[in-house]
Amino acid sequence: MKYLATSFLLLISAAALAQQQDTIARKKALRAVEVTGKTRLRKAKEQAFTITAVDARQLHNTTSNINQVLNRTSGVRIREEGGLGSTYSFSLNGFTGKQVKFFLDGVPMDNFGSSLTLNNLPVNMAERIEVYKGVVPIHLGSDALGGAVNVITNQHIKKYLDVSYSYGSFNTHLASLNARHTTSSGLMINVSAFHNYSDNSYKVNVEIPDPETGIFGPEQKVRRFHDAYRSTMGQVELGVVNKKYADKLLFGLIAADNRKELQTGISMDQVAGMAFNTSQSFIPTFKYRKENLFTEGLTLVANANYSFVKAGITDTSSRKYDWYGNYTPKSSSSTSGEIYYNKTLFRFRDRNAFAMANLSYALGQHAFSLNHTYNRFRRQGEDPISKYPIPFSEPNIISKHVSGLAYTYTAADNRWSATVFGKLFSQSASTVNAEWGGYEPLQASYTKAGYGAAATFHVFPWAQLKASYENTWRMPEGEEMFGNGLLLVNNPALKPEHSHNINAGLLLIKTLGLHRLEGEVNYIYRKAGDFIRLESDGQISRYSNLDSVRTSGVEWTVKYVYNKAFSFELNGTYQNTLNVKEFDKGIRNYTYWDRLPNTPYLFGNLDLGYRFSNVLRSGNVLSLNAGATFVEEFYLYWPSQGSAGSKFIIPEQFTQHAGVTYSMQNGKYNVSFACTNLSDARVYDNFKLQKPGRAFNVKLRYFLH
Amino acid sequence: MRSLYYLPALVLLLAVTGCYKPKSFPRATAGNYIVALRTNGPSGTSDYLLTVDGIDNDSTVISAAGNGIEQLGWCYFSATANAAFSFNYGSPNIGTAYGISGSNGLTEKGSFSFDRMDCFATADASSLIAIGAPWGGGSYDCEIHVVDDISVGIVKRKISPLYRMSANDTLNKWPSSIVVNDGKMYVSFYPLEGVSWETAETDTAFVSIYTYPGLDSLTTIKDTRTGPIGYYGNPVSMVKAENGDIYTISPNSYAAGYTQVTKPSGILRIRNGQLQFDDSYFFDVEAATGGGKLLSAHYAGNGLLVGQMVIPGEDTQTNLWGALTPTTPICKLVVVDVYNKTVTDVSGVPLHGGQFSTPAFVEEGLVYFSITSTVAGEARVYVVDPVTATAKKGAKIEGVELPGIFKVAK
Repeated sequence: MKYLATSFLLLISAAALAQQQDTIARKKALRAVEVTGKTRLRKAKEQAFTITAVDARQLHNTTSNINQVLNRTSGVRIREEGGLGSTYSFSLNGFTGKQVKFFLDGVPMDNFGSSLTLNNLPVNMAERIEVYKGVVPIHLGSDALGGAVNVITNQHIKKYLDVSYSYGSFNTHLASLNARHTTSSGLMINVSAFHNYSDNSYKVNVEIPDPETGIFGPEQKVRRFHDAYRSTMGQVELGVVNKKYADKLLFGLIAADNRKELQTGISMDQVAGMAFNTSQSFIPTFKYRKENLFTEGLTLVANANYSFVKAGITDTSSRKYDWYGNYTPKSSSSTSGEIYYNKTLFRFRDRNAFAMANLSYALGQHAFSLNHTYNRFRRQGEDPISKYPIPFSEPNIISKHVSGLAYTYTAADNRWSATVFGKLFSQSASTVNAEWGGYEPLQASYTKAGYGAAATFHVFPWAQLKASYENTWRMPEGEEMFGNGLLLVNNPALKPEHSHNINAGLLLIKTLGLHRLEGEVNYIYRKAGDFIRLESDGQISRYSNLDSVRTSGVEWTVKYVYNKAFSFELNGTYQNTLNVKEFDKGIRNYTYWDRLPNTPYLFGNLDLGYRFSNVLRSGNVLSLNAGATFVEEFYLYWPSQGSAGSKFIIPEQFTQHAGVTYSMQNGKYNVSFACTNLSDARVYDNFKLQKPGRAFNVKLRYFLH
Repeated sequence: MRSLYYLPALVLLLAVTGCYKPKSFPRATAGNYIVALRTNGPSGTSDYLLTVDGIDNDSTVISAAGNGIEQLGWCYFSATANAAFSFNYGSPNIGTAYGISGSNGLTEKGSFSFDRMDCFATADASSLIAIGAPWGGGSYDCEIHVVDDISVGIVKRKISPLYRMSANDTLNKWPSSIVVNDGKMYVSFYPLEGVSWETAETDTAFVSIYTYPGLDSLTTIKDTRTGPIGYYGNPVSMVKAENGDIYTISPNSYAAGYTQVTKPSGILRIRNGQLQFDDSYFFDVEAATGGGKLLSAHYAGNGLLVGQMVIPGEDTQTNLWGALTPTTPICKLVVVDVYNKTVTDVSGVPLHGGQFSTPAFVEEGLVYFSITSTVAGEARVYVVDPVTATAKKGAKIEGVELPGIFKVAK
């Protein structure tokens, strides 16, 4: 803390010294330029909310997906189990899984299916990505406990075509297409598509046991042989813009599917060679926006969609595979699958109806907004090969309403602004408890109120203070209440989880001639109870209200750009999540005040870039970039328990990447070449689940606008 | 270039130096008692194996704070004369053997991979028997393994359904307890419906008998004076007396996971080396105790067993699986005199919950039990004197329970 404080004091005083030398007149001129010239990105950053806004356009020549982009920002850690399409856990300031909500242009993606998650979406789909930390504005109407991610697509170009294809190691193909056409009469058509494929045939280090004695052999490198992933998405939107009755009115359709082979169980010691998961999504959408409706300053935004998602788990093999790809028929347990106890052909059919409306009214320095979202989720399951009753054979239904009301005051000189808001969450759920073959209808409903406030103050035009607070709830979701019908069993007694989230931060943006400096530091504090976590009993697990935790942490970012050519960005995150639960079912919890295990707590990223303009030909740009990511090792189980040498750890990660891009004709034609995990380090986000080593890729992109 | 790589790491470390205060821990002791300690963990529980000098003193604290060998997930524990074994559940399923070497305390002797192991017993000085049972319906074969502490691996395997009532039999036979005696291996089991865990057949006690070490199937013996012997979770359901007689415990209890109860809880006898139940012996424990259900017991010598009993009136459907739940206080300790057919409550032990494996350790006629009591608000070792049926407080357990208590040679 001391070092951090000192370094920032130095930074501030250096900047202040420079500021004194400016004349008052120049100050005014500069300010005027800044105010009028503020980009949407800058405006997003300067909200009172604690937010990381990423300019995705700069990354459109890379092969990154949205997750990979976010994984390089402060406060965010995405833990992947393997290569492309692998299961991942998104964590933001110590909150994980469903505690963080994801949106695409303000529409929740929760029930879009597994082919429309952030690890599938290519970065080319996004103009910018906003990460709200702990305190979430009401227009993202959701019961997010720890924050929200909103992916914003390009809304401001009338016509464009962005098409790209990349090929890389492990037979990885990534293709993406984004296009828009607007006619002079106001007819608009949007088309988006992507296709991702990889064999994920990277090498892992394993010890292979002898099939007779079970004794482990020496460690060796083997290639993954059943880990292919494919996802495909197509989206068409048709509608009108700039009409009297609507600034925008769009009807759309999203179709997506994926197929994911399963190579391992929960660690690399369990090898599978046949099992796979599939998912198909089909989503009609509706978007409406009208500014100055009836009266000036009144804006109505409405979105709705209905998603049909079908997901399947196929595990019907009696084979026992080893890492060489050889198999033997199982001697006993011939009715169990490779991963699950019983062979399964489980199929979920989910239906989700979503509707939201946001009404906002700006009157001078005052702004009011009212938001309501409604969700109705229905899951039904079937398993044609199960000889036993299964959950979801009766439909399980969750209805959820989230209402929000906010008031914002902005001072006349824009020097300060403040927002207060309230939210009302209500949910009702019905399910059938089919555990151990019984049938018991169950109902649960919850109503909870949340509230919060955010304020910001520009101490100087280049220095901004922020503070925000939210008292928030998250309702249990379908899978958490109902389980997945397999090893994850239901828990109808589950309660909503709750948190108090506090942020305080300082944002600095200063341009000095050719030098541009940006700095941000945030302090985060979270006090959360009834945390919904997975509880295991042998192989069976269920979600329970297990933990109460307190997180405090600091995250910071420093960015320096010289002459729009050289750029340097360094960020770091430290978050200490402590167990604050003293008793567990009447027995003292001896890990009270211990740091929560299996959670990254210290990590950072470095990015360097250099642009050479007018290379070979005028308008052609050659850019070089390199970077590194560091994650400190962390314990799998409670840090205070067990002797030091015997503890299981997820080892330190330190990886580097580098790339070169050549853009021709002002970015119309682009070729880039990149390498990830340069030093071919053995990296793990999760215990005994090795991630890919060094990989290369080349990307071709055509961008016309 | 290398130094550039470490730049962000260095900056980050500097930034947080002020925030991190590592805890300091007491030194581990290197006694020759090995205990497994189960503590509250991030996903249920965490298991540690540690050595202690003794467990009979109430000022001793068994704690995993900076101490003990961490286990990868939930484990069963067992031991030979020279090694304690952990059998880790989840994925991977790994068995690991530990010995005590001089002042170094616990040292790992080796580890091996296995598919399923659900029921364990010491076979001889260096070998264990571990039986893997079919989980789920449709498959009825168990796999019997012999594991030794020299190679620390599986030295023999045998596939057996334990018993088929008929060709159409669709019930799993879940192994509950194993005793090796007179060149034979006795395996008790209870029939259940593979997925629902319903106990459809509760009218008969069964023991399957194999040769040992040959593992050839000899016979399955049955007795209808009481119900099945033992239950899920590796309890001690059969004990061997000094003369080689085996006493078997039929819980006939909802708390033991039975979904129906049709016979009284009782004890049968198999005479030394015999291939049948002793027709002349049956102890109806339930009648003798006014409704108590004997779950499991340990042999303390001279016909005395110290066991865990569900108190009369608490063996209800509500407490289904209570025998495996540390936080449901429905159990008491009793001394069972199998010669004189009497049951005496042990005084000085609070009402407590059940647990997997019900570990106890017998030494010089005293029985050391791990007791988890939400009534007393703690987990603790109790030292039971079976002759006087009294107990005194032993070591305090900083955790949920001790899933294993062993003493191995140094």
